[in-house]
Amino acid sequence: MKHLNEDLLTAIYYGDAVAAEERAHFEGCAECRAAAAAEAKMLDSIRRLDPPEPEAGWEEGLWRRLEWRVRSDERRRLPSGGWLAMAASLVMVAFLAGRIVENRQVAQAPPGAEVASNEPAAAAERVYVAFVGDHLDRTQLVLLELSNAEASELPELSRRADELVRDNRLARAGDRDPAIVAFLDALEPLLIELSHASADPSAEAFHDLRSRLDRSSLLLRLRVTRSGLQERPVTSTRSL
Amino acid sequence: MAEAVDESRLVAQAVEGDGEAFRALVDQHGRSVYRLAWRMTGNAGDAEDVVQETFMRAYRNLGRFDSRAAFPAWLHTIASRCALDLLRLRRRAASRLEEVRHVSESEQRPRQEAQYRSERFREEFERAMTELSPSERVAFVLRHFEGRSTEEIGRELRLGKSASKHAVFRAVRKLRRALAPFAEGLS
Repeated sequence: MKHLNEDLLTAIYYGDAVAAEERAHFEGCAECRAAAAAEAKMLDSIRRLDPPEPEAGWEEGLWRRLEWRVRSDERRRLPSGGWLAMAASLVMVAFLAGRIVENRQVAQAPPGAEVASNEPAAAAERVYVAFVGDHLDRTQLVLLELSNAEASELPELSRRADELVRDNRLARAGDRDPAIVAFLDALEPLLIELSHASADPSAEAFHDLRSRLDRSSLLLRLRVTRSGLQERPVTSTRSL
Repeated sequence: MAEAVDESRLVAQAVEGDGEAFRALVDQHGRSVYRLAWRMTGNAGDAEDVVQETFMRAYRNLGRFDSRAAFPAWLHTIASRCALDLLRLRRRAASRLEEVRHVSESEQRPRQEAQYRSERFREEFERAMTELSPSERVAFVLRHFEGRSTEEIGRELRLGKSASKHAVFRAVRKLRRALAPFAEGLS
């Protein structure tokens, strides 16, 4: 019998079942046992390589990053989520109205005059950044799931995309950052198609959507946009 | 045993919407998820992303968690899927930047031979892991570090049993080729 190949040596290392004939050869063959010992030495050495430990207090930072998302998820999970979602949208509408007034004040103010009351605008900006951040997080999750889902999961993804289309429009209406606006513009057609996909939950429609997502660089751009948003300074008086 | 009881109580409370209970679960399991994520992604930034996404997915799916199962194993399954998603995403990016680690001569301190070999082995291992495909990498970590069977890996990664088994074999073959020159002399 020929010596055992590499894969069989790996199978033996992990304790997987091998055919009786191969096992018998292994027991009686010094060469195969030597090869297995070398394999085991390498794999054991790999097992001893520990990843770096996060620093002390790391859990605290992790929770800070998670908490906001958990809280906003809790709000969405409440049974009366319909009116809460509407309330969130109303906050955004109020925010948008505030921006229009603020812009008019800036436009009408004489040159050199300070537009009063920066604080409310800064607070509104924070609300907006949080809203867009949450929108991007939820969008990322839906796109990642689309990228890996089964066709049977399409109706659920489609339902979630429907909410995202609404929030995408609100987010786009409120932003003046050309990079974010451009990204939200690029995102919308795919979200709309996904939201309509429940009308045609065929495997073909599903694969078509998925290949469109694969061909686009939307997921990468989303991550870049998301990190840009996190680093964005909150300013209260910006010009259009 | 007390820890297991405590954990199932925390899970039950978290399902009811108790944020503090969920926070306690994050505290208890964050590091082990991080270690797994680091092994799968090979860097701290991506590992952090995977940890966050894992806990968010866990939070959103707590209601589906079967309390007879082990919570850490459930979390690790979610982390594996998140890591696989991220690795596939990275692979698709045509503009992926290769990380090249240069260690200049001046930076190399005199080191004991054994320590030097061990560090070289680690560097080569980390480099070789970046050459694996996403499914090879995740399957290998699950098999080698987590002790999962190929059936379990297949279920978790939605690969067939044979596909997951061969993913592990291919990963080991590639690692063997890359590490053979550095394995000599290791204790």
